[in-house]
Amino acid sequence: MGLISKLMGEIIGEDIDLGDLYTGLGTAGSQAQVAAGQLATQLPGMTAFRPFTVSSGTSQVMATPEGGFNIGLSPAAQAQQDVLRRQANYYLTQPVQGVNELGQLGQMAGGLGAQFMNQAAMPTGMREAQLYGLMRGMQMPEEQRQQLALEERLASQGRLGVQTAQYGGTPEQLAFEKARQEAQNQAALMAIQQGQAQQAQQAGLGTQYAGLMSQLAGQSMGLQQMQQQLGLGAMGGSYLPEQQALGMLGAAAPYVSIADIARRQGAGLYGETAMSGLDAYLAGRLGQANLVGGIVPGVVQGVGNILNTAVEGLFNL
Amino acid sequence: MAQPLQSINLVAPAFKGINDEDSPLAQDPSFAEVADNAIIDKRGRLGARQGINLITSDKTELGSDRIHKIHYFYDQDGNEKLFSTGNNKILSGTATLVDETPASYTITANNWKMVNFNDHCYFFQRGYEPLVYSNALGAVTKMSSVSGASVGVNQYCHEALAAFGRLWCVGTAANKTTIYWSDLLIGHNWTGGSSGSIDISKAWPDGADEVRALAAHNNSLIIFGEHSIVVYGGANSPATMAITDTVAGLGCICRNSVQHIGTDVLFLSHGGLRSVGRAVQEKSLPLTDLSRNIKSQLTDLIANRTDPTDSVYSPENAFYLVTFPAENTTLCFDLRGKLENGSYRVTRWPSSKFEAWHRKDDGTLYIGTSNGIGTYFGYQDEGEPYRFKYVSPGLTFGDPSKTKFLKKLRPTIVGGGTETIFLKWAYDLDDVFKSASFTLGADTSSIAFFNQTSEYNIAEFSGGTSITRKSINTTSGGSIITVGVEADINGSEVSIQEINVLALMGKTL
Repeated sequence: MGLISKLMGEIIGEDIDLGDLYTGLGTAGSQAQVAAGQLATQLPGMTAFRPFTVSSGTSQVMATPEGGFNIGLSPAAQAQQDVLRRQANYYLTQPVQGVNELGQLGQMAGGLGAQFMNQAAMPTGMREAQLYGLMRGMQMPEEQRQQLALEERLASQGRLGVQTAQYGGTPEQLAFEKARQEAQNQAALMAIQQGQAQQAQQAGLGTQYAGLMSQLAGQSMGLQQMQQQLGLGAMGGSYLPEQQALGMLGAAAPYVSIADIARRQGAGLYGETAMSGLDAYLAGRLGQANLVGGIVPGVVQGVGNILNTAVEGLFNL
Repeated sequence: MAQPLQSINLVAPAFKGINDEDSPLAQDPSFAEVADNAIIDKRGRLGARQGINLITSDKTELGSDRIHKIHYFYDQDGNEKLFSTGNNKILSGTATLVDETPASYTITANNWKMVNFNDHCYFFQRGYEPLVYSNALGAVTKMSSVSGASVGVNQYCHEALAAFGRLWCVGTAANKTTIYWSDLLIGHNWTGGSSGSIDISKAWPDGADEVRALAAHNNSLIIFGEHSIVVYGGANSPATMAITDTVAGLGCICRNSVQHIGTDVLFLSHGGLRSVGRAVQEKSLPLTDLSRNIKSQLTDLIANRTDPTDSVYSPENAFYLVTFPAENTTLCFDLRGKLENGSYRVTRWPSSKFEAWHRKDDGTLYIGTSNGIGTYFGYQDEGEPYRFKYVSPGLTFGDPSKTKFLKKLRPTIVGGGTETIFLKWAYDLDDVFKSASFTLGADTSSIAFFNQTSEYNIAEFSGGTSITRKSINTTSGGSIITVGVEADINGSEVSIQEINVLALMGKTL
């Protein structure tokens, strides 16, 4: 034992071996480590997930130790799911009924629209000429009747052969020719107006058919969307039992969590308690060490002072 | 047993004119079988016509030709000029005939139609450019040379008419159915203004015809075809004029025969003398023939004529004359009244010198002859006598079955100077006459109703009309008696007042 240890022992009143004390501190740490390791091995078992099973009339959800779960459907639900899946498969994979027809109609409408548009884009001169011919064709019979009546009237009056410097023929013939010219002018004007109106009408029809084509295309897409929605709906419906099972699982989860929390809290409390003991043990050892450590310097200083005094004395000597 | 003499008076014999159409036995003694160079005088008696008082003394320009047409031009300023045609010339004047033919204008025919219109005189003849005369122009001028004229071959027409404020013409060599009318009041403008034309080839009532004459009457334009008539109303506006009436099967044979008589228009058709009023009213029924009593003679004259006719209406003399120059015959239709059968009284002027006629507005009746221009005046033809002739129809005195012995003829002749009267009679329609003659005024039985004695050298009476009554013994007999009177008219008027026939009725045949 050394001087200091003796001194310390003297001070404390117990024999103290600082070496042992030092070793004992190291040992206490090792012991605390071992105890914490033991606690660590105990706590997972205490906090481990415990599988559970949730069951309903149509499904059963079984949680696995690994944290997963298995869903089991009743045969009826399974059959419904199968049906829905087949429907979803059908709707999502088969061509949409009516889409081809709508496409054809759309093509026809597009063709007509293009035709009308092409016609509307054509110069109106030829059409006006046709309309003029039609109008004159409608006017001609009456004109011919009127002309024949005039000729008959003039013939009955003995005036068929009249030629005048003023009128060319008779005043009636001049009036008739003027009326005919006016009718021709009117027909020409009406033909122009009608040609333009028809052009506008064709443009309108073209637009209308283009709109119809677009509408049909929209309807086709709507059908496709509808069928897709049907497929998706069926598909979604097919997952509904599982969703219901999952929902049921979700509904059961809080209750499972309560047990789990309690278990984890117990384990936590257990760990904390154990760790508190270890902490207390280590604190005691640390207090011992601190106490010794606090005394040592005084001892050392006293010894130093003594020695110093001694030395000084020596030197004083 | 001796029969008493039967006295039959033929009062105003033949005052109904010639009738050689009815049966001689059924004839009214008021008709005549022959009435040559006669007229119905103002008292309704058969008398000698007037003669030709020749005015022309210098007919050098006429040469050996005759006057074909006469026309009197006058304007509103009182300018007058007598035009005539002959010897292929346009002539003027009366005493001396002056050639008015424009220079460089060759004429080969003389059947001109001359009309007065708006102070101008227009000359038309088929195939010739129309000519114009006015006092302002001063000479007969080609129409194309007149200022403002517009004329073409369409106006080289046969017929022309001034009416409704325009000049109308028709009848080119190529087209005889198109009637042209001039601008209003401008007779030489045929293409501008309100001028025009009408082809009536489709208006004839019987299919096809050609225009022969035009007339304006009763506000209508009357178009005479050769076989039909078309009447246009409202011709004052030609562009709108229209047919108001037509007559088929009756037309005009010569434009020169058309004459206005005031209330009607006379014209010669193939069937004789017609009037528009009658023709339009009765649609040319044969009964309306105005020359029915001389139809055969007239139709023969018409059928055989070789020269254009000429005619005139004289209201002063109340007759319508139509002359057939080549046949040397003029027919005189008395217009004072119509007979029961609707015809006019008619006499014949054969072997006369009448070639052309024209009446001046003052009533002067101009006559064209081969010696120039004369007037209807006096009782000589250019200083020469002419034969007045009357032959009664066959007279039966009411009993054709009995023999009549003609004892005496006692004519009463009005007027006359020293003319010799030949009294003729024949039996049973024989054309060989027995005759006797006497001289007017020279015989004792002549009575001068008015003498020319004067008192204190002042004429108390003008020259009176003498009446001669002569009793002529006649011979032989027959069942039908024809009597006649002939005289060479040589300066005095002669009319037959009556013929008293004394006959002895014999046995029944």
